[in-house]
Amino acid sequence: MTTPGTAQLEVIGLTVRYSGQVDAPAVDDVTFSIAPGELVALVGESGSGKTTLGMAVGGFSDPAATVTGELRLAGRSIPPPAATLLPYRRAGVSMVFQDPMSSLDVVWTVRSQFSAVLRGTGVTDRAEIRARTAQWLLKVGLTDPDRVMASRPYELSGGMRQRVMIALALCSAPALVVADEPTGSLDAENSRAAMASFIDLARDSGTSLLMISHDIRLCREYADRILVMHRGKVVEQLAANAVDDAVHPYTRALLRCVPTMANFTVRRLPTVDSFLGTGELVDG
Amino acid sequence: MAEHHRTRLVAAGVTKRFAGGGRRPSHVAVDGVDLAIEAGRSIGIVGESGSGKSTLARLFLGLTSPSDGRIELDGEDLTEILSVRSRLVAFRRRVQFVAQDTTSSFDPRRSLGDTLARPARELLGMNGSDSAALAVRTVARLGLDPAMLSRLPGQVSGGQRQRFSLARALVVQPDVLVCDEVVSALDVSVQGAILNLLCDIRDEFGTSIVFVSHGLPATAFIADEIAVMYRGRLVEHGPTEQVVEHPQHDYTRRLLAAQTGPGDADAVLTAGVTP
Repeated sequence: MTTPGTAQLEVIGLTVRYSGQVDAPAVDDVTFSIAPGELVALVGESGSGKTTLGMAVGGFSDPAATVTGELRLAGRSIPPPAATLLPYRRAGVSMVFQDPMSSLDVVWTVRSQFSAVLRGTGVTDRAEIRARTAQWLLKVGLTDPDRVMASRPYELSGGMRQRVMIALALCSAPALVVADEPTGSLDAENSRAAMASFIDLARDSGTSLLMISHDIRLCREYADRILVMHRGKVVEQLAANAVDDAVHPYTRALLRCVPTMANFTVRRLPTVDSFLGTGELVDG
Repeated sequence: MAEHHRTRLVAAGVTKRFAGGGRRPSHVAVDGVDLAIEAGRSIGIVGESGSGKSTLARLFLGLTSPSDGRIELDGEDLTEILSVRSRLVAFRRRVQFVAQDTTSSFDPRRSLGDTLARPARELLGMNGSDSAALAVRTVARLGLDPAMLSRLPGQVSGGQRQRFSLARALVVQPDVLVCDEVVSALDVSVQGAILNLLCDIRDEFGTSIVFVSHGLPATAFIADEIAVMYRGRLVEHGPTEQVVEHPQHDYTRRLLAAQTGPGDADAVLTAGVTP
């Protein structure tokens, strides 16, 4: 836990309600903080509200949604974005999305996209921009930076696009990166390799990281802390090395619903729904 | 030879070589593999990226042909089967495929119902209304809501789409279902449901399941037997418990060591709680 004032990000009583949402809001009175350089994973099933929460932190909330509560970045309160159709990039916060094809500009070269981001951070010298871009592309494992820089997103493979996206998010030296299933569009094995390299780079750069994921078992391997989200609420916060001590039934259900080398002989796998059915799972 | 009659698909000394081009050397993806798929049983094919497991799956499906050796269905050479249009159709009905990526394996402009009815028309020669009715029956038997058939693939979740992908393969009641990484891309919380469904399919319809995956826990759960691929070769093959508990090959031991993480003991203790 972080003490007040030292946190890189503080989220206080954040609630996000989509227009027309009459039942529980998508994000329901959520409070947590992230320390400088800390890697926090936000886990939950699809529909739990984890993406909506990540978007609100990154400044990309649906303009028609109602956002209440407070966000503080390095102790300074940041106002919720105005109801404009164009989301703006929140200073000091970078986003990495699951689908790089829809978040990279399709008609710009990779070089132009880096140039736009780096200019935004005050780097204006062309040679400097080029050198930094090449350096970041190499860091994420793209071994032919000249070719990648001259390419448009559709000329790259899915794995290359995702690496470009990660480099683009980190090159502005953000205080916080919000990554929503950053390797989710890759096949399973490329995904693991890309994730490992992303985590290493985030650790090296000292940025705080909010990682949104459905896989609690994967998150425990690299995160410092895990927040478990269910039906819009953060139901449990755990140190990653204490996941086995989880007490909330939903967290325990998430841990048990996947096969492991210890339980593969069971006749049927428990599912999260089956926990719901037993009445063991109560909101708390 | 009673066992022999229960054998569906056989790989006999199968090698698949890809020709090089330019500076690329030629590459042996599958190297002298002998493997039999038995009726009503599930076999897991595991290995890392590049081990040749997906190429072996494609060979069983007749999507690529062996450079050496043969694939047989009920003792007949697949190359011959595929050369005759009517026998090809019969083969496609009997051996079906489910892919990892459900976004690219569904036509985004066709409703799920339309997509599911199509194999019944193409492979069973049914008319429009019969094929639609069969799609509804198949979906209902898998515990899915037939009302969802009117939706487009983009209007259901990834987990639901994978269930419909299974249903599409099962419409024609195949003897063999080849599944290539079918749960790897799904939310962990729906992986279990899909794996349970695959077990039901094997047990209720007697469908043989070829489960290709790099994930050992999911494979061990679904598979009666496990075949381990390493650099194109089949290095180990046996009943699942034997392979997991007494691995013979060094590579299998490494694969197992990499998969056993913390927290598994918890899963053992609680595995029995489901109704």
